[in-house]
Amino acid sequence: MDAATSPQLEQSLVEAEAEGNQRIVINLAAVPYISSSALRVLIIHLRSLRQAGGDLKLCCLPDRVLRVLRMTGLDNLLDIYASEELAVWAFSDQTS
Amino acid sequence: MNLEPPLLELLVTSRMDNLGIICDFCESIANQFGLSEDDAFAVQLAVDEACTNIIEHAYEERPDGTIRITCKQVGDQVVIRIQDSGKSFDRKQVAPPDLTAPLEERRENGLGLYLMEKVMDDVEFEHDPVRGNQVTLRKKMSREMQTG
Repeated sequence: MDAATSPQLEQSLVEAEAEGNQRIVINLAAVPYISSSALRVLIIHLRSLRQAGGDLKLCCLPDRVLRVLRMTGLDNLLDIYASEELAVWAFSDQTS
Repeated sequence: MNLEPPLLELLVTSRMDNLGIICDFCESIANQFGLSEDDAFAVQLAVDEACTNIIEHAYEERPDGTIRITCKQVGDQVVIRIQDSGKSFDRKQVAPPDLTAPLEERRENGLGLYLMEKVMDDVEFEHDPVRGNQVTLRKKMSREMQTG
């Protein structure tokens, strides 16, 4: 996901939030590559969602995507899960 | 017999949708020079970030600028030069991102430059009033994967 494709991520998040969704899981299994343009989108929406009482979680990260997140310290800000089920479960756990 | 090391070259306009072509060019670099998976990833990330910065900042998203990328092997290094004729860039004006800052204080800009410098062994920015901007990326190739 580079600067040419990250606007699609931005648009999806804007639409999801406009529909009232404040707890969002992004499955990155089909995203083999991520650049700073997509990281920028993730930071902005993570901040806005948490300020609204929600959260953004990631799951199924390919190795290279995880490496970029680690290089930029975003793995310390974002909750990252091995599977979509675990990420969704983590949200349900927060409500109990 | 031609003993000159091979030089790969790509010339594209400053459109974001050319990043896919630039990504394909990076794969050609990896194949031509027999780069390891890690080195190929580093080259793709650094070249992508450099070209994104050129499109966003040097050309301010004007789509008719030109970006010229050349690549050659020098000793045990792969050397990539990226040239543009947009606005000049002063590396010293960009502060490094604070990667430990809490979310509320985390800047979302500056990560591309940081990643370029993180994954390459050397990144050099130059500006010439006539020739324009040039960024040179150098990466020492993993020993077991070198060719030639």
